[in-house]
Amino acid sequence: MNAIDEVEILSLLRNKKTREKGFRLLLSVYKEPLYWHIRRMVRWHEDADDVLQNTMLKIFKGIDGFKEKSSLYTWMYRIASNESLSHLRKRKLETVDGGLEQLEYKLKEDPYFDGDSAQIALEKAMDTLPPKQKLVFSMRYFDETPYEEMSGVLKTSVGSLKASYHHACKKIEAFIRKHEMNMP
Amino acid sequence: MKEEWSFDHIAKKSSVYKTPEGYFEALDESIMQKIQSEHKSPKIFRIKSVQYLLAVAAVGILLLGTFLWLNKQNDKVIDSIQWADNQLIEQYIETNLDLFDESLLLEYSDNAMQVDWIDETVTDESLIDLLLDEVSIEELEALTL
Repeated sequence: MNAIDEVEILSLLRNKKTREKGFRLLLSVYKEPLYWHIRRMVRWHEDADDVLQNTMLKIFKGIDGFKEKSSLYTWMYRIASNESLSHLRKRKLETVDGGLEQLEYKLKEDPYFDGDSAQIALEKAMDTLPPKQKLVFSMRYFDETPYEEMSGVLKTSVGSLKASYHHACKKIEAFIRKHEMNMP
Repeated sequence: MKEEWSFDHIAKKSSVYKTPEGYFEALDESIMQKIQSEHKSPKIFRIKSVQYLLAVAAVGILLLGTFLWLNKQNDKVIDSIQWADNQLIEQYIETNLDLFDESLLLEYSDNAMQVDWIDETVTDESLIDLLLDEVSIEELEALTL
């Protein structure tokens, strides 16, 4: 996020003796934005915690292979995005029919979810999106990430990201009109 | 249409999501611990792989030993079978030789008797007949000349 942080963190990480210190600094700067990025994708806190821990492990192990072709931030977001996507794909395979009602019930029961009916409706609508579209939607809609930055993270052209976001919005609107007409 | 529903109805920021109290404060330590335990794991893996190799080697030696031992046993068995075979053959020959021997010898001698056609006397006539059958007069003349 902050260029000065990145340079400092990287130089600490590149030295074996200061690697741990560098990683602790990295955590203090990036754990929260990465957590929220993952959380919006995987929805549940427990899952987000799992994915974040795996992401951090991969970042630590992969730091020697990081060639600085992109910023550290972009590289880490890419790892977090890929981890989230593979988590969602695994999850998709596990979900059984009638998942949407169950999802609403689970959201209402979840102590770490505190949304109104409109937000529950949005959650349900987002659940019908393919994982990558959901990722694009959440980065653009919630974080208002610039397309150029998203393009670096997701290695996808700006044009197809825009199209993807547009599709996602249309699908969500259609879903909510169809299923959740009793909106506030 | 838009007045019915739009994205504006939804609070944008992820305020709907909460985390357990003190989650972020404890996160650094739990991640560092995970990294450190992962970092040590290659050593454990190496020890494990040495154990694994030893186990494989032990099984290999056992198998080889068993194989060799069985082979030796097999040789003994073959030896004894051969020994038994020789014994049997000898015994068989001893008990059955007379009969076998006589009839066989008789057969052989009968055949031997029939070979006396060589002794058939060749007369001049028979020779001339044979020659006339096989050879032309011109050839004969050429031979005598």
